[in-house]
Amino acid sequence: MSEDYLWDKSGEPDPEVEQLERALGQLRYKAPKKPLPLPQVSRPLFRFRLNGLSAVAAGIVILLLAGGLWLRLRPSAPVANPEVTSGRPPQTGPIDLTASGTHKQERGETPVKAVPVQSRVTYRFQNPKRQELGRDSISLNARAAREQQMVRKGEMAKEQLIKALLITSEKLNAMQKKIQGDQERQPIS
Amino acid sequence: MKVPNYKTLWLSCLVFLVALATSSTSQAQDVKIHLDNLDKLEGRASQTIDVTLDGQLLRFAIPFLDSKKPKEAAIKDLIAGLKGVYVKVFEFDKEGEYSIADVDSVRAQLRSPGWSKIAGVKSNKNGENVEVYTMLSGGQIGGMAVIATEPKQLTVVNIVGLIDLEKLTKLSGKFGIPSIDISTGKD
Repeated sequence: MSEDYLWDKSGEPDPEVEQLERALGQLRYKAPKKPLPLPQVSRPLFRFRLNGLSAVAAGIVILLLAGGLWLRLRPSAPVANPEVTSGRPPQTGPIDLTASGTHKQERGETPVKAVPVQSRVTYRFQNPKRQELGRDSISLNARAAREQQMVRKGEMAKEQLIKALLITSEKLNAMQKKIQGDQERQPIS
Repeated sequence: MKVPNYKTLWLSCLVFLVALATSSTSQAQDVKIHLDNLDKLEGRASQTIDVTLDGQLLRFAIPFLDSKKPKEAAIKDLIAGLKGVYVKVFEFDKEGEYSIADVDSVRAQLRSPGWSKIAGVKSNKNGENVEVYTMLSGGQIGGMAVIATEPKQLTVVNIVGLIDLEKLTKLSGKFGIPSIDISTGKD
């Protein structure tokens, strides 16, 4: 069989090839008679006309929102050291809540001792299944350290708060007593 | 009836938003007094107590206050409306280590609108003075400041937020809390 027919249809036709041509010819691409119509003007789903005033207004709103976000997310002021800065070496044991523990000791009174920070540390990850995983030990350790840091920060804030409120209360109390004392001393005319 | 156009509405909303943001910020700023100028006294003081607790740190402290303990429960109740607590106490070995100008720098801030002096005690005998200032906010105390001066001690307290003065006064010496004796000049 000459392959010329397959090449340029010049040779003797092969009936099997002809049959195949007929079968496949039905699936041949037929170009449409006329092209598909396109709309004259395309219409966007949403049209927003931004004039100068709207742009300024939008800008201000965005600035306000950004400012609000910044105020909310900015890092807080550093925690003041709750230790009394008296030039002594840093205290490693339980922290004396009262500002004048030494004065009280001199007078024979026992100063109030705060609970050591370490004794309050609790971990959330006590689930044995989670501990078994082990593969995330580094991230778990980091998270535990972070939690421990948060606990320490919270304890420190609590101690500072108690100290601050007691100092304030003490001053207010002393003033109240003084006012009451003065009133009692003054004769009622 | 004339219907306002969108531009007017837009502008009104914007003015309202800006006014709201400015007023809330300035209110918080006014209640918090600046104590930075007292930092120079640290060098001369024999003992300094500096407590700086902003709103974020106060929120940190709340979970650590045990409601079962009367003292901590009372404090928890007291700080519910607080936004900041700032205390500075300076104790000196000798008299005259701080000047009236140092105290006046704080007093000047408390002369601004909103602040009012509610009590003051002056003792000529031992030179002990206490002044209490409050800032009212919607009929409630929205902030307070205390200036207590003694020959060898200076205490400045600034509390920002809603505070119950009566509860605060009762806090010391109650629930088995021993009174803090931070004064050295009296004894």
